[in-house]
Amino acid sequence: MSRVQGRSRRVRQARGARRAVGVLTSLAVLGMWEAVGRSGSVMFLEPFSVAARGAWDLVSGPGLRQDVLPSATRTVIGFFVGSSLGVAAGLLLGHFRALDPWVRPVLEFLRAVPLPAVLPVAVLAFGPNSGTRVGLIALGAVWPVLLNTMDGARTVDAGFVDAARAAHVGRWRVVSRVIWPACLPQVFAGLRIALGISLIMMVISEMVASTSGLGFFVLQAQRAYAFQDMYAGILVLGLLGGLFTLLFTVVEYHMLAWYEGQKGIGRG
Amino acid sequence: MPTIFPNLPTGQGNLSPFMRLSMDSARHYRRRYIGRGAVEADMTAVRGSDSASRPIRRAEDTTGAARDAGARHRPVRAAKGIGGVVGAVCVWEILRATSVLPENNAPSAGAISSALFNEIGEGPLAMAAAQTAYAWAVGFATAASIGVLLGTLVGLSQWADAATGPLFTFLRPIPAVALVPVAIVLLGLGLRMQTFLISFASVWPVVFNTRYGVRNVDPLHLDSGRILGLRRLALVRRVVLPGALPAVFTGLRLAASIAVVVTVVSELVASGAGLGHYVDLHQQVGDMPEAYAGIVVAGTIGYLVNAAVLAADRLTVRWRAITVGGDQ
Repeated sequence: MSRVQGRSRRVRQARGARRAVGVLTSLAVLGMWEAVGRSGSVMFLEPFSVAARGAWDLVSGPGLRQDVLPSATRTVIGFFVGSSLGVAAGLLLGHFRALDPWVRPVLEFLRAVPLPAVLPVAVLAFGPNSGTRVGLIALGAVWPVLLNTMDGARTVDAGFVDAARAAHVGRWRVVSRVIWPACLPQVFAGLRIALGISLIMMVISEMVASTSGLGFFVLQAQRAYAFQDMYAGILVLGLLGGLFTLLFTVVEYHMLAWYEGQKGIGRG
Repeated sequence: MPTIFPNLPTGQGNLSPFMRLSMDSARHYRRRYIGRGAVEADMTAVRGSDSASRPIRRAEDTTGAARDAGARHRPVRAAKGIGGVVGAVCVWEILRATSVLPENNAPSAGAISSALFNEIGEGPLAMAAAQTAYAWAVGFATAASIGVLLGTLVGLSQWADAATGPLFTFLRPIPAVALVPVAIVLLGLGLRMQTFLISFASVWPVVFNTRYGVRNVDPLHLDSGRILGLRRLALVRRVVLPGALPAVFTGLRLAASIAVVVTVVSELVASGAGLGHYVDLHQQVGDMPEAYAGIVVAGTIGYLVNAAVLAADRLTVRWRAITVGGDQ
């Protein structure tokens, strides 16, 4: 066997060992949760197996249509509405740079407002319905996307834009074919933050004056001392968050595949 | 091209190829048409007498934001910003007048600002803001210290990274507010519960950005440190951590604003204090101007927190202008 082959096998073995260590650590933590839960030394802590069974009941029973799907739908709609608005406004404000000093302080302030503080007021003003909740999720998703798109569009290499103009490319096509792809990596960085905020806003908006959704389910379970349901709801929320993050990563990977190869070019 | 000797007082080692080219052609032009003495005087004027500060200024000049923020434009910029705020208030009033916002639930800007002044002057709003700021500070400090420690550990050690990787992948996407009920049940109402929630929510960006920063320390710097005889711990302290600092600050900034959000959530749902509670209370009683004043104060805290982390970043990472901007 050649030395190179031997080395690559060692590398593969080390990688396998590391993966095993990772899985073992996760199992150890779950085992600890199970053991502490069973021993009853921490009050109100249910073991993992009980929580997992509850989570399975939740997604396989009527809870799926009553709580899980409404939550997922609200998150998705809110995220899409908010981020589309953010991208559109961000491209506009980034393209017309003169607007920047006028709007930036206001935007920075609005972004800094913690939305949960707006929640009670919004529920009172617009009613405790799905629309209000989706609106709040969208409002949370707008800011990171808007500011990142704006910064991305502002700092696009002026050479690209000049080259396109010199080739008599129209204004709209410069935005759609040059500026938009060039700021896409930064847009995705904003979208990733927006996704996390959307999930947070989904849960918290369902905790106030709601009758459906996972946030409602979890809080209700806690108030009714139904701890199996409470832990089950949190597990499902975690899985939902993981699922959305995974989907997002796949989309990002495909849309930014060209970018990975571009890094480093055009700098040296 | 990276600037290798940014503080070199003479020569053109600190100029970009393009600048050097344009200065060469300018010199050629002058030498030919004006005469030698004028050229040298002119070049000194261009380069400036304080050449050590030159690369920093040039690096800042490369981004539009920094250029706009130049001292010369500051008053104009501030005036435009105030204009934007006035515009936003006008939009608010127009939305009220056209009943896009329900009129009885959306008080006028005047009512909100008078409520703001009264409530701050008489104390309750200032008290709530102080409670929020305190809970935020405790939670954020916890998250920052745990996050930097953990991030450094998983950044340095592949085994630590491998051991925690899957666990972090599961834990991170859990929306922290989903843990509100558990935190209440296990930790009760109060600061302990708040600290747990705030730090759980805001620790992740710190961990992952620190890890990224530690991983991406320039190998050249590491080798130089080793050649200069730094042992493991000293290498971490003197080379790795300073090198990772810009990335750490990115994480801290994200964490700081997440922490504000979760602080308000914890107050809204569970604690009898702070701005979240203040807004909720006044909304239930029907004092809408006071509720909106609470929101404005919450926004101000968020804004200040962001500005404070940015300022700390700028004060601590002074070399960023050279190392990052230098290669543009």
